[in-house]
Amino acid sequence: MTHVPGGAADNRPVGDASTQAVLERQASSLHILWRTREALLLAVGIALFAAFALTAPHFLDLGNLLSIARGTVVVAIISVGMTYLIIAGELDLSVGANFGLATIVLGTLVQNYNLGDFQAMTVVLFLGALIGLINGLGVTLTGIPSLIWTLAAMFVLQSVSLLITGGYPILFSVSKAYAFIFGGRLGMVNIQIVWAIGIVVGGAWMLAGTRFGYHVYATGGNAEAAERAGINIGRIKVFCFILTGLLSSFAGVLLTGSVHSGNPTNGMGYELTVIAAVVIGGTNLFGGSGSIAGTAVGAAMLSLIGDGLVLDGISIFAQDLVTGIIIIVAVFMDIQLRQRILRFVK
Amino acid sequence: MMRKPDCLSMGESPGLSATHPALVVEGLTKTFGWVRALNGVSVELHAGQVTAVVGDNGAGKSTLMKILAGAVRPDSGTIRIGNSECHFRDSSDALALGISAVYQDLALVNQRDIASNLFLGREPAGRFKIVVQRRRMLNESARVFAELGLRMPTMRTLVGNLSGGQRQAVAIARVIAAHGARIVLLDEPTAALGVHQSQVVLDLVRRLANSNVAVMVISHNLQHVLSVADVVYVMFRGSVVGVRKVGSTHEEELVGMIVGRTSAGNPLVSGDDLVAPGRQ
Ligand SMILES: Nc1ncnc2c1ncn2[C@@H]1O[C@H](COP(=O)(O)OP(=O)(O)OP(=O)(O)O)[C@@H](O)[C@H]1O
Ligand SMILES: [Mg+2]
Repeated sequence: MTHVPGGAADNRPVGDASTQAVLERQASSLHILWRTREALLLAVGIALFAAFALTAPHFLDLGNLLSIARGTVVVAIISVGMTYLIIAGELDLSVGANFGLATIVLGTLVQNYNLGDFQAMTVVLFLGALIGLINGLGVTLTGIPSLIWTLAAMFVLQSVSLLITGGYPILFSVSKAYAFIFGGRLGMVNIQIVWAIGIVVGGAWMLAGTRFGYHVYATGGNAEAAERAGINIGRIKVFCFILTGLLSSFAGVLLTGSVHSGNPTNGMGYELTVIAAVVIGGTNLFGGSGSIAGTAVGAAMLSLIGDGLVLDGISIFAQDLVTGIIIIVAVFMDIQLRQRILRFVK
Repeated sequence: MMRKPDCLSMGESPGLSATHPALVVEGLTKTFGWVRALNGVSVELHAGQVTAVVGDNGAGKSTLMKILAGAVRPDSGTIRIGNSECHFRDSSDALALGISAVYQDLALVNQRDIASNLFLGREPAGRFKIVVQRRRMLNESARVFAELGLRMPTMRTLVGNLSGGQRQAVAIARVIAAHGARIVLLDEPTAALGVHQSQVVLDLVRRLANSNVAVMVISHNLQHVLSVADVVYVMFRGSVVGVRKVGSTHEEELVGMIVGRTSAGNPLVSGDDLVAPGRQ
């Protein structure tokens, strides 16, 4: 056998520029097909929407639509962080407790310690990020699975909330500026919706377009490969935990913009609603793939169901029943679609 | 962001040349539980040369490579690069010193596309090293494969959807995309490849060496080894049992050493060890 120094051997097919261009164009259409996963989800959402629009009185009233959007705010914001975490191969069950604690700490600081509301907010956001940092370091340094670590963190934070309040809600008052920035209205639109849209768009951009986002996908997709490529996977995971903690506490801050009370039951069970939104949105629970756009649609769908059922005169207790069905349908659809696309590629 | 590798200079640097080794390891040992994977291994890699490492399954070849790439820490032994002694804390240290590796298990992220895998960990980014330049990444990926003469589907294909040989091509193309590597380590780069693709990779290995890179290739295919390498190290049960210049050896001699016989035909080890060479 001989080798030809200085280049690939001749008389063999070489991927020249023009064939490559054709392939790239084919890929774009393939890419669009990929996007159909989110489109299909959106279609299901629209079908649900149409069903409620036809059956539920006043469903289409602008006021009601805005109230659906507002109902999505908290779950949507926390879901953004959770999407990062799940794509990176981790999970945080303490988000609801973190959210609830944020409202309580804020109320306590304002009411009992006479701290300014914006100062209290700063402390609360710092605390949320700190909880995320502790979760992240705990999981990455001890090797305890995040499911277990954050389950424990959830219990601890819930208990702290109860200890601070003695089990009673804390009522407090905030300045006009604070109430406007976190709970006011721009025309008919609640400003909280603007915050949520901003966080969803920013979060989607950071995940899809920045090196950090790329490394989040790589960490959850194949941690060993990421590490060998020089990515510090521990640091990536810790950042995802911090982001999730920060967003959980920020969601708490937003709540205090409109409801001036801290309640130890705030946020109970939210962790599962948030995970449901992420999973309905097509993010793989085992890490490596997913998107913020999908998550946002998932979160909106959950809020839609609750609202529509009430207006239809069906018991609100049926909400979780429908949610359960939607989770199964969405994930099943996702699996089917993936297989279709795989066959298309081959 | 990039941390400085932990290297201790041993005097004035003679620079990399064909006469002075680019990388020297001495007395590497590594045990995994009860398994002694490496038992005092010493190897030299020279710029402009292809060094092959052969040996039976479990002889310790991949372990040696992972240590050189910073993915595994040795229990003892020294690694010298140029004229400094280095301790790799992880792969990023080795990468920073210009050591690029293709792993036996390929180390690809299946859920990501070809372009993202080609630039894994070193995505081209804008001014503040934050926003990934996606278009540039796609174009450069396509260019790398064209340059190699390897036909690939579009750069947006998920790596998990590729055939075994295509996946191997992606892993190898990463070395090219990471231009500037001074030391390239390849663990069985032709294992999953067809005749044509194997030849492309062997050509590439030669071309790298001709551009003054120090190349180490692990392979079970002795014909490939003899056609592309300058020097062959033979490993047996965690030790180097022979070093040969390619011009002064032949397949039978290498086979003899690989299975545990010296070139003179004497067993290197006692008879019962020969039953399962390189294992336990
Ligand atoms: N992470 C690990 N944990 C435990 N044992 C290991 C590990 N890595 C390698 N070994 C053991 O070390 C020995 C050498 O393995 P290594 O992968 O280096 O062999 P190899 O020469 O590359 O073999 P092959 O030709 O099959 O790839 C084997 O006995 C293997 O089982
Ligand atoms: Mg091996």
